[in-house]
Amino acid sequence: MLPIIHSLKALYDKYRDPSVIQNLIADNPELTEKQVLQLKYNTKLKNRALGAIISIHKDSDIEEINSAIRNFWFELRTEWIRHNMINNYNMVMNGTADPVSVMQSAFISGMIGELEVFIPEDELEKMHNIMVKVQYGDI
Amino acid sequence: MEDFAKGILYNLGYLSRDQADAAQFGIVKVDDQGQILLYNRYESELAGVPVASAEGKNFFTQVAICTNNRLFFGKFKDGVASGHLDVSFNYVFTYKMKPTNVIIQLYRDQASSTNWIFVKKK
Repeated sequence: MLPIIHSLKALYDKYRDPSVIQNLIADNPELTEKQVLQLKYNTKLKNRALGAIISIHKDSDIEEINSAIRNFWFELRTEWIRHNMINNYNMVMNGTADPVSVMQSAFISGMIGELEVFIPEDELEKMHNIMVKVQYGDI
Repeated sequence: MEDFAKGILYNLGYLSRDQADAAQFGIVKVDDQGQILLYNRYESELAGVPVASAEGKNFFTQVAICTNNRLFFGKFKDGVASGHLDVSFNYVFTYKMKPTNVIIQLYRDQASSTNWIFVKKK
């Protein structure tokens, strides 16, 4: 097993710790019980995806692992763009946004930042530039 | 024009870094493409981005990624193209930071032909 898998496992374990989501929820005491459950479920799914990557690639070579990390980064970044667009459309039109979507957006962006540790800066810049175009609808 | 930003409008053409840093709201001066010319202390602390690493970069595509859409960057582009930019709206920042609700004011100062983004935490 390559060291990068151990690092990904450490990240997975970090996100399994309930305190991560508790900290996010603590900043939003207005969330209803249902919204908290929804948020917990959605964030758990994200970490489960990371867990699946680790499980599938525990004996893979570095190219396969790198590819999986980059794919996951694109997936999360794309999902974050959707949340950001919906949240801010509602902010602009109504002055408020769905708190679950806002919290999820913040969680996803945190996870994006954690994955970027595994990607060299020059490559990350290229990936970022692709998504800048996608985000503005300019591709 | 949002009230919080009205106080500095008379002086935008001559706004010094010290004056910008003394403001109790975010002040970002950008060129017509969005490249940051001035990034004040409030904005730096709000976004968690050091001034030195923000200035020189594009605000919309490199520093405040969540503004890179037609709701925000689009309004800016339209305003710059028409020569008239004076619009405010609610927004929420979530990219690699705790969700933060803000009021945004985009403004083009006709006298100095400069573009400004003002940000105030709600």
